[in-house]
Amino acid sequence: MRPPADAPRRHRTPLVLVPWLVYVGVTVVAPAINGAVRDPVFAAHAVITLGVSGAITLLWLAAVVVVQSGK
Amino acid sequence: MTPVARSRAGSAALAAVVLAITWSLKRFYSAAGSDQLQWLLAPTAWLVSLATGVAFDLEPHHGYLSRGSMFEIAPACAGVNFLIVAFASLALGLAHACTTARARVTLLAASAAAAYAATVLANASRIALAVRLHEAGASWGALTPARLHCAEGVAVYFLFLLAVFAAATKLAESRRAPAC
Repeated sequence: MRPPADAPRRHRTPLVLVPWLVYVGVTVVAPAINGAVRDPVFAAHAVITLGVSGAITLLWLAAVVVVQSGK
Repeated sequence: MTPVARSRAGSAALAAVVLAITWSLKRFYSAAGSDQLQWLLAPTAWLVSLATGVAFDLEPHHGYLSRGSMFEIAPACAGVNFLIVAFASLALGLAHACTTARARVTLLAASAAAAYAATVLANASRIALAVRLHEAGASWGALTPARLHCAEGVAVYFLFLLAVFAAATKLAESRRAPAC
C-alpha cells in the first residue's frame, strides 16, 4: 500500500503541465478553432506564445526535477 | 457507489462546472466594453500608475489613457484570458486533492479569488513593463515592437501563472486534511 505522503510527489511533475496546457488551449487553440488562423498576425502570436511558454515550462520542469532529486 | 467512483464523479462534475464558468467568461468578454471591465481595468491602471509614475485618465467607454506616454489600457488589455487560464488551471490542477463536495466548492471559490488577484498583479506588471518598452521604442531583430510586446506579455503572464500554481499546489499539500 502506498503511504499517503507519496501521493503528492507522484502527481507533481505532470501537474506542472496543467497551466501550460490550459494557457495554450485558451490563447492559441481556442482562437485558432474560432477562425483566427486566417489573420496573418496570428501565426506570429502562436509561435511566440508556444515558444516563450514552452521554454519557461521546460525550465520549470527542469527545476522541479532538480529539486525532487535533491530530496 | 464506491468511494473511488464517487471521487471520480465529483471530479468530473467539478471539471464541468469549471468549463461552464470559463465558457461564460469568454462569452461575456467577447461582448464586454470598457465599462463592463472596470472591475479589472481600474485596479490594473491604478497599480500601473503606482509602479511607473505614469498617470492614466479614465476615458469613458474606451479605457485608461496616458496622454504623456501615448499609451492606452484598453478592454483588450484587461487580462480576461489570463483570468480564465489562472482559474481553470487552479481548479482543474488541484481537483485531485478534493474528496468532498464542500472541498470542491471551496476550491472553486479560492481559485476564483486567487485568479482575480493574480490577474490584476500580472497584468499591472505586464503593462508597467510594456510602458517602459514603449517609451524606449525597444525592438530586437525580428522582434518588432509589437512582437516584443507580445513576447513580454506571454513571459510575464506565464511566470505569474506558474508561480501562482506552484504556491497553490504547495498550500494544498501542506493543508492536506481528510477533506482537501
